Amino acid sequence: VTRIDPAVAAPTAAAEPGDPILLEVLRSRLQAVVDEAALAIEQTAVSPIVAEGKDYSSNVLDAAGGLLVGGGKVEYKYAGARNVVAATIARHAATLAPGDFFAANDPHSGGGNHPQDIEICQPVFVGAGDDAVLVGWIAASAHLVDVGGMTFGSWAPDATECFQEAVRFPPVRLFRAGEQQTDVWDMFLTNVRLPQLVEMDVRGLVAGCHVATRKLVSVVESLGLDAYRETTAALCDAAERVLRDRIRRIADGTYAMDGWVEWGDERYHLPCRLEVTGDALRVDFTGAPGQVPHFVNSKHFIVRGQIVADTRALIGQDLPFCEGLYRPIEVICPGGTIVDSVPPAPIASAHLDVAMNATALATQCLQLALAATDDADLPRLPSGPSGQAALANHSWSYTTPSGAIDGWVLSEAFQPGSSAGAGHDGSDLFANLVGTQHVLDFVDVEITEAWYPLHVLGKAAAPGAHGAGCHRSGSGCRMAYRVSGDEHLAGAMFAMRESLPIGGVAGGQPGAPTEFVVHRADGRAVLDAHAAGATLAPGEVFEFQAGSGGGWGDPLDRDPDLVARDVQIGRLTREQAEATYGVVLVADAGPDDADAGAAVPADATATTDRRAAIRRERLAAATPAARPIAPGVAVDPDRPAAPLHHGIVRRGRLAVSVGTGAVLAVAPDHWTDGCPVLVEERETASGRRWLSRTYLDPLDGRALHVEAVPLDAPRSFTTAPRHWTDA
Amino acid sequence: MGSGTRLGIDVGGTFTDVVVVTGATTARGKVRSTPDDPGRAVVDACELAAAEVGTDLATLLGGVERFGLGTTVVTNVLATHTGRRLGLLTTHGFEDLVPLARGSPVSEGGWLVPPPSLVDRTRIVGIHERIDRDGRVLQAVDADEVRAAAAHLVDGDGVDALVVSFLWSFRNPTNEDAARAALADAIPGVPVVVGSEMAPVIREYERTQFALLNAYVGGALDWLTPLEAELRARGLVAPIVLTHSNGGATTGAGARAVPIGLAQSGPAAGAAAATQLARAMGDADVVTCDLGGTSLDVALVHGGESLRRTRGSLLGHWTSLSMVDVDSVGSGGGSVAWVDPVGAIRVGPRSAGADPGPACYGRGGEEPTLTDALVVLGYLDPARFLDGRMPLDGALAEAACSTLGAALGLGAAETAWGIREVALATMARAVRTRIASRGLVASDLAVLAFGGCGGLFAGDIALDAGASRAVVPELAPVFSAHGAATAALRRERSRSIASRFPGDADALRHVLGELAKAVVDDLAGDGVAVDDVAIGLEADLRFERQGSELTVPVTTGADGRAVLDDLAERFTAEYVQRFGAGAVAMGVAVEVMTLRAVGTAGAADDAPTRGARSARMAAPPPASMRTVRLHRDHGVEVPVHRRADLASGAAFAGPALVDAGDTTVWVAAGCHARVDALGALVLEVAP
Repeated sequence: VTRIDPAVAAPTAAAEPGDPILLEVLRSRLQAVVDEAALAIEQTAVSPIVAEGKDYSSNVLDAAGGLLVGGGKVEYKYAGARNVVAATIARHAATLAPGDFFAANDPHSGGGNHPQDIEICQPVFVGAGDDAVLVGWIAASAHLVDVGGMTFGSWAPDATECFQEAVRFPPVRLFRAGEQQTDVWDMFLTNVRLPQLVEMDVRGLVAGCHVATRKLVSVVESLGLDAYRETTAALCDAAERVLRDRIRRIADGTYAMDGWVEWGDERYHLPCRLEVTGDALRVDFTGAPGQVPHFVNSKHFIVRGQIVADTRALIGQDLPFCEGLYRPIEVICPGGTIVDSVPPAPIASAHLDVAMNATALATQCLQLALAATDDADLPRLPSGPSGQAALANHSWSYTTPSGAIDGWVLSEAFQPGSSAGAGHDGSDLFANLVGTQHVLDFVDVEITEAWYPLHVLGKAAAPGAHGAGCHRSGSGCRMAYRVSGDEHLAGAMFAMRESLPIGGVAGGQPGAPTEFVVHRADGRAVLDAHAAGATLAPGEVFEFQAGSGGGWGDPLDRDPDLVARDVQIGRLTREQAEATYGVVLVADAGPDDADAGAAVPADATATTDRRAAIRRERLAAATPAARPIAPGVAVDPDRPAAPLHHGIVRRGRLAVSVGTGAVLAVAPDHWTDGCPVLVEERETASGRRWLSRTYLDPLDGRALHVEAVPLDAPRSFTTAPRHWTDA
Repeated sequence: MGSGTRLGIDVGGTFTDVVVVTGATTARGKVRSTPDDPGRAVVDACELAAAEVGTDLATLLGGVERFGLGTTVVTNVLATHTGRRLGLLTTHGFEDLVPLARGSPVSEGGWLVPPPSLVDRTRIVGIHERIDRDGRVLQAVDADEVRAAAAHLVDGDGVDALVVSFLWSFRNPTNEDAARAALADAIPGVPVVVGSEMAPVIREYERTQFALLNAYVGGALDWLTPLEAELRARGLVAPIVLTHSNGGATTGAGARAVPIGLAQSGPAAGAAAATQLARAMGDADVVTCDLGGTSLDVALVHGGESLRRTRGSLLGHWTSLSMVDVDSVGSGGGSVAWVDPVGAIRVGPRSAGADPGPACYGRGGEEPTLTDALVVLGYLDPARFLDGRMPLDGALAEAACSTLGAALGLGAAETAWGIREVALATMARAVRTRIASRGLVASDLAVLAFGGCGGLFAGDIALDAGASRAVVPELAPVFSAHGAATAALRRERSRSIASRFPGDADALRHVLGELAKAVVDDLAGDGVAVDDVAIGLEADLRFERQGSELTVPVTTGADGRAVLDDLAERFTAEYVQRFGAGAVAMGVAVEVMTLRAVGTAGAADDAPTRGARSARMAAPPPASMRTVRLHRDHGVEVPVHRRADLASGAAFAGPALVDAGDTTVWVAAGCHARVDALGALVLEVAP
């Protein structure tokens, strides 16, 4: 039945490509296609990471491999869909047939975000026989619990080459013209642990693609091929046009931020530089170190895909996630470096350590640019980097009495707390404060205990004063469990932010680092965050704490009632409330004081005094400003204020603190040059040291910006809009 | 059950609908709801019903053998956040789990905001106790600790209901029972809700949420007791039964014991009525479309039963609850049309609501809604809206569409055409997804449309989704009240098993037997004789470690024992139907997660003979003609029939409109319309 007759649908002058009615009708129908595929995947997949953790995606692409629409909860996976279709076209364009299903998992040759993410794609044809026309692609991806290699879960910290990590394959046919290629299935499944589980998950993706392909054919047929092609192209063009319009309104200039990728005691400096020029963004990682013999190496398509997704989250959530959004965003990743590695670079965390850090740097550069932009109508969500830059993971495996291998990668372990934002505390056990990605649900304790030989002792939002701020970060997951059976477990840790936490924004403090600890009969041992070879014996306890993002704004500006509440629920101790937030609780609250959970209010006078004292102490302890402003330099009050940074405006050639009116710098010097700097050395649980460096308002000691950097690093960020450097 | 009078009342936020069914005759009416005391509107509705059937209230009530009530009051407590102030005692070390709400955070202006928690974190206290997965007590409850926590919450923090929910309590309730016993002394008079008692199923989050939800809305049905007393005094003999979220009826006592069961009472009543109609139509498979002012609710009837789910979200609160599986999309008559950043017309999810309402209501609304588009296009006759009781302003509708279209270079009529197309695409998407989620074939299904403007979209949804026909029942505008009058009494009992299938088959049979007996006892408590109870057994199965289960009916053999031999095969067959043969891996074990017994009694059996058809006859000439903008650039003159003129068997082809006074039905081109023996308008879709 033809619902939309193109002849009826397009008779008037307005009914051209980009028609306001057809655009939405088609978009709605394409969304239905991927939603139905996602439904099939979620209902058929077996492994908890897919079925309960929702680590999967589904996409419709055009015939050339351009992204049209996505489904599922992990937008970062859409980059893998584009990659596998491009690689399949490159290898198999001449022999494509209806009923072909391809699979790839090697990021170096057409796979997705890392070897564990299998990418399935299927060409979609309309018409039959020789008249069949390729109209597009369906792609789907899911995280498989194991794809072989030297470690259960295929995250092998000891691997120095991709050959050791996993069974690797470029796009190969799982079905040829509808015929199952049993040889390929056999070869793949022979090389993985838990072959039944893996097979079920792959078949779930096949089911999803199968459903979506049928639906896409009916959409194309009902609309007519030409109208379908024109309207999908118009959809992408319109999304591109709107995104470019928004970028054009961002203050031109250069914004830079340095990050560090960790591997035990090694730290790799990763510089990021954003150029905003007219209606385009250029993110440049030139200067990134060469690829390393650890699995953190990434690929250009992964880094770019994540940056596009997070740029959309900040300035384009209302735009359809399609090919048009990629066009205005150029990402430079020099070949052979950690941001675009080549074989034999190991690559099991290609979307995590390097890529998440690179993405966090790029989005923070974009936040610097937005903070320097004077346009009230531009959508903006001022916030710190996604907590995904602190994702923390671990796996344990064991041999069952029957000789089979079983094990887990707990999805809770992924869950850091998110950074705070302007007007918003971060979320607990949920990485993102902004955007549309709903990454990873929890698994019930009872389900975890039912499946595995472990007994959970506790699971909570980690307490502590991490990510402090006027708005504080969320907390990562803190969980402890004991081996409850006779099993001896072998483990691997693979986490970010073991030695350097995520920094704060606008005076908020850095977040929590990641910790892994084993409690044995002979005491407590801290595990390295990038290491295989951990062991856990019956009765021993494993405890971990995922890190968190940073806070927003000076913690001394936080509402004292909210601090008192955090004390009440055990998130903060009284000492932390006083030392970090300057909040003094009422001293003598009677006998209930000792009662856990009792509400004790803040003492307003004592808090005001304590906060003033802390500000004075900061200024007294601070290193003098790099270029203090001479007392004679005065602000001309007639000069209009243009935003330069959070809490800092430009008046003429002067950078001025909004809070006190203090002059901080004269253009083109960096606005921090006139700030006294409070430098404090910190140490993580694993004994690794870092610097907290706070740029202070010279008049009142308020924190304007706090960065978390290695001991020898200079200032890690630069905000240089043209309106400042040319002032 | 005999052919006495059935009275159904649906208590909504704005209106309270009533339907009286006596044999083959029905009467219906609508009164204004009284949210401060919902019972008052119920009495008003009864009085109106008596007047409609030409008798007095005492006579009507005295002859009622079923008094069914559907109500949105429980839902409203959740929606308006006006429930009880709760405290929670849970296992020490896990106090954060409830506030770390499951389910997707909601985007508010681009910020991802976690869903609301039913209990504030400051009122959650950890108790040092633990049961392990095998049900062994690792640490027993210290009654003093429980009492101290309760005193702190109730005396110190003003909590007015307490929930106790511990890990693994469904496997061994000892610790929860001990805590409850301690609380009975410590805080007499404060309601205490216990997790394992409310829902003895695995997954602590859903179980705890279910207990919290019941505690939160506890009290929302307090008006039932005085209402029942008043109706008794006025002559009612039959008990009041309420429509449960699972589409069955429950007694007043049952509803008050588990009040959250009524959270989806309204949609469930619609589904119950749909089930009756589907049976009357010869066990047709049906997709129901309840199209109201703000949303389209979609549900399925398959094999004569409403399809249900065992867990889901209630206004953002994820929980375990047997409920009719309803999807809702924000596309209703009041949904507002707007232009998105890429220049496409969008409709909803924002609704103009009742106030100001669509522009054509003339109450100050300026944004075009779907209703405005329908007026501009000619589907709705502004002068005859709601039988002429509420004339609409066509000029205002046109002005609103014109303003929106100006930005796009479209005229008012073309804009209105686009609004309808876009809304229809959204509705069809919801229907398609719903059908696909159960692996059903659209062409085997009938679209059953009700609610305010369901009749205007039924045919087009059927065409778009690929269904064979659409049905608009005679009682479409008061369909939920009809469902309340006809739903069967229904009781469910289930138990978590969570082991490989079959394992110890005799043990499973034993559990099923116990569950069935418990259900019979439950219904006996509701006043149903054992012989009147129909028992159905079900098992929720899955492949090992999957995240979701399929519900498969368990048959019983001649000896009355449950037949388990073919269960795994039937599960696999159902699985293949939904997901395709390629989705099944060989050699993976099947797990039985939950066993359930369902007892039903007292379904309406007074529907006309199955499959009854009246002789087909030509429809009388249309009452009038109206121009409807069927095409993007031009309108077509279509005949308008008055529903009252169409007798059973009347048949005619689309395009045509049927004006039924309080609702309008659109017979699309390509549809053949016929009034069936049940008075429903059936639109057959030409293949």
